[in-house]
Amino acid sequence: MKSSPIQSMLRRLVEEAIPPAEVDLWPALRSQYETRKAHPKGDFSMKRSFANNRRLVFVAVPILAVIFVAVALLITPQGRAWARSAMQFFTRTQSDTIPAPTSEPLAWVEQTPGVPAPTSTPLPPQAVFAAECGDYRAPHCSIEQIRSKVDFTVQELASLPAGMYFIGATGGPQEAFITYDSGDHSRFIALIEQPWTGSAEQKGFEVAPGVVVESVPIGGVTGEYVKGSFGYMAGETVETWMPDTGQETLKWSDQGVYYSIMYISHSIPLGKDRLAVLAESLTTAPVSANLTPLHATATEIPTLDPNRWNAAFPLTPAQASQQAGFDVLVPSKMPASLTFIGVRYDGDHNLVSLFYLLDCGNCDNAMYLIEQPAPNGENCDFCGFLVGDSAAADANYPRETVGTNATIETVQIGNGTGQYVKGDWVSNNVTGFEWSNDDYPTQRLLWEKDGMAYFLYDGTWGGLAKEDLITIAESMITAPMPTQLPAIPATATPEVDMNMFYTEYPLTLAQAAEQAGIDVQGPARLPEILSFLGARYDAELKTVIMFYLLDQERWGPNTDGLMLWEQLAPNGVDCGLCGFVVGDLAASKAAYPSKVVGSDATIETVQIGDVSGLYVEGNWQARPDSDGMKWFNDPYIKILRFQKDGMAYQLVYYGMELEIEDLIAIAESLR
Amino acid sequence: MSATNQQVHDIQAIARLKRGDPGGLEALVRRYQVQAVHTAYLIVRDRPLAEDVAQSAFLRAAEKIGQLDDHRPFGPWFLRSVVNAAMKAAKRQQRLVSLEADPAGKGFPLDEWLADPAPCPEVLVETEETRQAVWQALGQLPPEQRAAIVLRHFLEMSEAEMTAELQRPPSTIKWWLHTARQRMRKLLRPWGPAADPEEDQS
Repeated sequence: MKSSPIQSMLRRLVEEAIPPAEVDLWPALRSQYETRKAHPKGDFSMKRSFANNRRLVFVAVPILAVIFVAVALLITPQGRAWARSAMQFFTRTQSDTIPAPTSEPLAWVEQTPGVPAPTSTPLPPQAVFAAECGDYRAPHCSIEQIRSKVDFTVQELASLPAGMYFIGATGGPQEAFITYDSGDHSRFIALIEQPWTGSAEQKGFEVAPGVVVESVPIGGVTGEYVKGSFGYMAGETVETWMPDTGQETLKWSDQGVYYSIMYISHSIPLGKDRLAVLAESLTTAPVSANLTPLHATATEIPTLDPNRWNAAFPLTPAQASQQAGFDVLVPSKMPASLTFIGVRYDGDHNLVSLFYLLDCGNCDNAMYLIEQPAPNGENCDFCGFLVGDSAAADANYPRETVGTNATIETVQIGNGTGQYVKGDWVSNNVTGFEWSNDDYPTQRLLWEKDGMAYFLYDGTWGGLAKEDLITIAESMITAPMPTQLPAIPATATPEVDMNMFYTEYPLTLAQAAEQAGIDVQGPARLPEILSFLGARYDAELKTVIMFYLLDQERWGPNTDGLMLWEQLAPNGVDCGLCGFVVGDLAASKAAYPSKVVGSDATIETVQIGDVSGLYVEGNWQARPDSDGMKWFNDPYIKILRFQKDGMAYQLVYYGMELEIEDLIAIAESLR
Repeated sequence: MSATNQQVHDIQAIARLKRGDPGGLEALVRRYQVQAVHTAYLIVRDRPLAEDVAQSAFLRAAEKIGQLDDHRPFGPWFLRSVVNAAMKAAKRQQRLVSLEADPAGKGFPLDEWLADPAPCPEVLVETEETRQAVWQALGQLPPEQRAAIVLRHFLEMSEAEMTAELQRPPSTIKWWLHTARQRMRKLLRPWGPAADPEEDQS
């Protein structure tokens, strides 16, 4: 990326003053770090911090963090004297806490001065294996490579939870360590296989006294399942049993091989039955394409193209309306975590799909909304869910089929009703899918309105509630016309989700005037840095609100600019925009739009043509250093109110570019 | 190292640090120490103090690492704390030392270059004098405004990122930047429009 001149100058300045090669903080830092770690009662509160944030540490979900947790459990000293064997594959401790592992003392070797130390000590077999396939933190061999290195039969999973992939494998002469991950690193599976010896190590996964170890049938044998694990924080001397670490473990042995599957996820539990399904899918046969390694090494997580969905959803809502021949509605309320990508028109089924991507970096969690004309309920693909199996789901596309065990709920959407379902199809083996109500938090909502059928699919797993989906459904409005949409470069991801912002002002001035039944005034003069974005009519307030957006090219994506409010005020009574009063926050909240300003606000009387108006700078804000919401005389927000010819006007400018004189000039130019 | 690789390595280092492994901290120090010291230096304008600020920030990061959301990149989170610590240090320093003296020892009095006729704008970014003019102008700003310039123009954070990282309302960030730019613009006026940080945005 090309540096700006100012950045280049600053860089040169600091590099001349402090050459990078001269910066080496580590020696001093290391001794400070070690000292503080050894004396945690000082001002360095690592121990307390970790203890207080125990859960935070274990809420770590990225794959490498998860692998560390998994590896920690693998290397936890096994077969302790206090462990009591009670089960075939687990041992039970006497207490809910056990001593945490301590670091191994350094092995010192006496040296004879003048005698060179031996240099050809062969690497132990485990190290040779790790050198070729990576250690447990970065396994990168294929299953076939592992098979060629060990002398027992290595199997792999033929079935995986949706969205999970093989990452890589490693191990040792007597062990295969095979890992799987989800694209967003929220789920991780480690499959460990060893020749069954019944040794203390293989039986040594410890569980606390009260923990339930469940028997699980796996084919013709019985495995044991446990949820939770022991864990400890840096600086702590004991490990504590934690039922909510997100770890589920299933262990069994079959035909001379010991197996252990560890599934770790803090958001999507799997359960013993699903783990058993995975266990039963173990095979030596080639597995299907979705289990192909995503990448060559575990540390090379591919970066997805941020514009990967643009080609699939290339249209604006207005363009889609033109192609489809019906009005495409867009939600005026959407979670801030979702970015509108675009629209696709499917002429074969006469439907449009609007696509929203979750802002989660390298993932494809998304929400989409389908709209299809349904004038009389016939030829309607989205006028109710079909119920059937996964084969029916495929055969009846695009109709939305849910499993026979799905719970279809009737919900209220505005004045009408809709159907809501939570759950999803999950892969049960390599050949089919089954419906699960609780494996995945996928949600579906169907409803009809004004001769149209709508289908909202929430695959974001982003924590939205059913009520949120209903709110989105109830917020549908007509899409803005193309002329009102400032162009957004297709290849750029704006910092501000402008698409959602645009939908809040979908009307032209004429449309707003028609809806409001008033003669809407627009400024005849406007600074060139502002351009008309659109208008909306608030029927409850009987107010038209226009938005003039600050230049996007000059200032980058932003939502600053001028809001112009217009409201009928024949006698100044029942007029939310007529004047200001001084009060507190409660009074301010009691009415919208609020007339209430803080007691320290400066209300200035100004002349606007032949009428007078009132001017204030500031608003109610919650700042990090303030106790709750307070009035701030913030010059960033400038408010001008005045009345003229039975109308009340309010100009609010967000930004530093305009001064009070500019606002007055705009107000005087209203025509 | 690609951005993705760096992030993966950061995740790895953070995981090690969370387990109390000093190797995790070492990896983070090696990766971010230059940026941290340079960032602090632009604000406190004193090398030993900048190194102290960076060191303290690393130790604090190790202390607080459990609070770092695993979905957030380490760099901005850490550099925010460097900037905050540098701002505090600069304020303390301001009470003790006059910022009119050139702590870098470069010897370029502000009054002299302000009085000097404007050089050709096209050579503005090329000269040592211009860099010193920027350095001096930066030194004339109060610590908050200096921090705003450093975040925006040295670390190249967007205003949205600054809002998130500094946990201040957008209006405050805009206000800091606006004021800082206005002062820089005024201080750099003899050097022509190219020295205006706002104009430098490309």
